[in-house]
Amino acid sequence: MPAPLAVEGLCKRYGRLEALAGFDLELAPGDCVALMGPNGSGKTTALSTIAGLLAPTSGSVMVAGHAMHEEPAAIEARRRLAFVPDQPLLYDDLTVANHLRLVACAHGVAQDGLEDDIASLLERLALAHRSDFVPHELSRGMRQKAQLACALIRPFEVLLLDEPVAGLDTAAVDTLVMVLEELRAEGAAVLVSTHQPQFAARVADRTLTMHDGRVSAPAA
Amino acid sequence: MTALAHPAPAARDVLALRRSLGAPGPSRTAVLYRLYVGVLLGFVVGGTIWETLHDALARFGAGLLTEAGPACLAAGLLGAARFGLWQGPVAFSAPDCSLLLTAPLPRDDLVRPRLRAGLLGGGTLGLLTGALIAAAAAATHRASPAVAVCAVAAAALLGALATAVSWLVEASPRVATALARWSAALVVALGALLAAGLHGGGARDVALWSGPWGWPLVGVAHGTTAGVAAAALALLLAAAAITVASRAAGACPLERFVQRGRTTSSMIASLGSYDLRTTGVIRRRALGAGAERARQAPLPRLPAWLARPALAPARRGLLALRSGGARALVAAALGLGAGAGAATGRPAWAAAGCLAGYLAAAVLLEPARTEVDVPGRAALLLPFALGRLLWLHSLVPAGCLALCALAGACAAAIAGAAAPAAPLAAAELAAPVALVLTLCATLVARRGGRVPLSVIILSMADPTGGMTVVVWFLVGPLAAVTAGSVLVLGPASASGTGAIVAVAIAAGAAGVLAFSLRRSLLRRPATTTD
Repeated sequence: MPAPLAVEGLCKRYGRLEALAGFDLELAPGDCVALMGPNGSGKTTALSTIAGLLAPTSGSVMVAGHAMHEEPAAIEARRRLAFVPDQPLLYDDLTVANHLRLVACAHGVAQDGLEDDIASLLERLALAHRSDFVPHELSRGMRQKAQLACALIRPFEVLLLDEPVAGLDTAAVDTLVMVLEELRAEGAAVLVSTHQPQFAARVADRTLTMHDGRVSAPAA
Repeated sequence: MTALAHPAPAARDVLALRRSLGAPGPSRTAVLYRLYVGVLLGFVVGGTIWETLHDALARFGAGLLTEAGPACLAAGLLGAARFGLWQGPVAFSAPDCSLLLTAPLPRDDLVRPRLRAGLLGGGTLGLLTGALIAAAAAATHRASPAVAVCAVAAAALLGALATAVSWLVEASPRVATALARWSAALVVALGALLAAGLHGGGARDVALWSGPWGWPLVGVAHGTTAGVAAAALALLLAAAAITVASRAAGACPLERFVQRGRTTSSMIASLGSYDLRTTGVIRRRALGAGAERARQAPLPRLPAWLARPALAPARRGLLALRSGGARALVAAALGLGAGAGAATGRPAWAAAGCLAGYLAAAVLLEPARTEVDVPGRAALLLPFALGRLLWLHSLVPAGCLALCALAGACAAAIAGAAAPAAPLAAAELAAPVALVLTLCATLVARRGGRVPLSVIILSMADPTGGMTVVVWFLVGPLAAVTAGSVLVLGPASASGTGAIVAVAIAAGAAGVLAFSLRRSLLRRPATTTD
């Protein structure tokens, strides 16, 4: 059975800049790896390229055996991978609950019990009282939680989180840690980038340090 | 989390849900109001274009339509293709890229509706162009109704073809690279097309039949049968292009949509605040144009005796000269300056030369604009005050344009201009210096070219406020062109006293710059709040 996520020799260049230089990673079910490193070290580029938002200069990303950057195989890869970007990217005219309805529909989530799932997820993320609010009525942290909810409402095998705790309060961080533990227990592989060593220590069983687009210090 | 068994629904169902969940559309009154404004604007803009075309045909003869038309339509096609280099007809917002394009939906199913809308828009624009051609042809008594129909059909198909080409450029990095590489050659080909058309006879027929840009005009030149044949050719080519474009619907990398989504939102934001300069910078960055590459290039090496800090701004000016746009504008200023000098007494030549000079100076003063944008940066990084810095930045543009003007004076002397050579040369040299210094003063007074908040508020509060913004933008070019024309024409038609007046005006411009610098808060960057 193929690994949930297998990244091999991933490179990304922007003109003269080599943002990602030979990034390799393999995640097994239930794994959680934290990416750390200074600003500009390539963490966001790595996650965005793995998620398919950026096209790699070379290298490959396989999600459960499906190539992420080759259509139509990428459809199956996208079905199995969820990505939470560092900046909330939400529609101005959709409420939080409607975002979740749209994402659920786009990912083929069964309509039976969907409203209950949305309600319980929002309750868990302390967003239930803001479910009918549009993004500009929410704080930065709440928008971040809404983006996280968009990823969690749908099924996946691999979850990528880019700076998920930026802008979150302590209670929300604790909730996120618990959610990640549950997801891992269910078999999801998680790759998270963060600047906070404490958060990395709480959620990850491996930490990779990046520098100049390369993994410079794999640590246990 | 693990329930992956459900198949994803069809993209059209997701898009329908997106529409139904979103904010309700505008009310019927709002739609009617927009329609009213659109029709009104259409009449105003269409009427202006029609009047211009009608006057041109009356002045230069009915043949102008078939002589210059193919080159104009080909320029439009090239413009549409180049639009695909940085934007293109298919655009997705950042949330679309994050939430919809990353869903397990066939990407071509998401792209095709937007491509169809783009093709429809391009076709409509072509249809309007065709209607204009048909009306112009009818006005010159050279077209039957059948010819008009052929022209409209071929032009509409050309519009759709241009959209399809633009999409292919957007979707394929290989096509985009090829277009960027061959754009200069294509511009030369456009010039050749125009020359062939204006030459008349067989060369004009070659221009008309050389491609889809000439086919809407074939009927006007050769009658109904040829027009029908040309329209049929246009139909075949457009159908082929649309088929290829439709097949490429799923081929565009998501990264391109992400980049274009960012460009779109940034452009809308900068246009919303009338910040044309930032809009241009965003476009150039998205295009990866020569100007941006030139700015990223290392500063040119200078001999040791010239490599002094005081000349650093001049070196940045030389760097700005490396961009293709700056070179083209300087070349235009050179040519028109020479023409203005040779054809002394012709205001149109002088005005065109001064306008080209103004645009060239505006491009060459880009390093000065960046200093005005962030005055604190210059205070921290460079050893002299901002005022002196702007003086130093004006050296290269003034010198460069003075050379252009000198060429104009030489041309005038060779052509035996009415005015004495020395006063004419003095006047021609004074004009660009005054132009550059005035522009520098404008930069300081207008904080680099950004519309102040007071003008924006006025434009929103007053129904005719839009004109205030337009006037705000036009004052600089109009003043520069008028003053430049007076400077060049005055001494050429009169005596040596005109040259004294010209030099006095240049000195006055220097005084205006000095006054602007003394009054401006930019003189004290540490206290500015920008």
